Amino acid sequence: MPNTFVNISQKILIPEKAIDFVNDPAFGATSLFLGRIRNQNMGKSVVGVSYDIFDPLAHELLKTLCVEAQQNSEFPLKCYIEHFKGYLDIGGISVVVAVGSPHRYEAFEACQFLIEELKHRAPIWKKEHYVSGETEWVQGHSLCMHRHSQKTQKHKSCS
Amino acid sequence: MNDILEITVQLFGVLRSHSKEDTLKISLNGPCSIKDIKNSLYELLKKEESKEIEEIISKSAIGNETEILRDDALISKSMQLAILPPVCGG
Repeated sequence: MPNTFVNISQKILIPEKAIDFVNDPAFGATSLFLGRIRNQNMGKSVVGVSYDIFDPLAHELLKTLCVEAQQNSEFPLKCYIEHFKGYLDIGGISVVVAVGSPHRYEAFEACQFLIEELKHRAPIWKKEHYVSGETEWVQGHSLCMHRHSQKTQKHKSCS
Repeated sequence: MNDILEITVQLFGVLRSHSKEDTLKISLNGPCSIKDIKNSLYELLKKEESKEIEEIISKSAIGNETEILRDDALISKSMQLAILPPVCGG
C-alpha cells in the first residue's frame, strides 16, 4: 500500500478521502489540517480567492515534502496533501493535509511541517477578490530565498 | 559559433498581470545562464512600472517541471521553463 498521496485538483476537496487514506490498523493517530477561504485579509473584505499552480513542479515538491516528513519521523507515517486550483468562495477548502501515525505527537508534528513547508516552498499563488470588485495577488515567499536559507542561512538573493 | 536558444517561459501569479500572454518566448545566444534569461524577461516585461517588475523578477526563481534552477546554472539547448514569483499556497 502506498504511504503518500499528493494531488492538485480543480474539483471540490473532500477531507474524508484524506482521513481514509492515512488510516492504518497500526496507527492510533490521524492529524488533519484544512485550509479555508476567510472573508477578510489585511482589513479588506474578501469574497473569494483564485489559486494559480505550476502543476508538475508542485506535484514534485509535495512528494518531496512527504518524504522529508517521513524521514524526520522515527515512526512510520502516511501523508496526504491535496491543493485546490481555481476559484473558491468564502468557506471553500483550499488545501487538505492529513497524516496518520502510531502516536499523536508525530502526527501533529508532521501535519504542521507539511502545511508550513507547502506555504513556503510550493509553486502556488493566490489572488484575492474583494467586495469592491478589485483583485490583488497576495505577496508571498521567494523560492530562491528559501533555497539559500536552507543551504547557508546567509544569502538572500537568487545568485 | 554560438547556437541561438529558443526559450519559452511560462508566467505565474502576479507576473500574469504584467503580460497579455501566459508564456513568453526569448532568443539568446547559447549557452546562457538563468540570470541572462531573467534579464531578458525584465526587458520584455518592463513598462512604466519597471521598478515593480524589477523587484518581482529579482525575487523570482526559474524552474522546469521537476526543479528550481540556480541563477548561475547554464542552459545550452532550447527548452521550456517557468518563472516563479514569491509563492503563497494554502
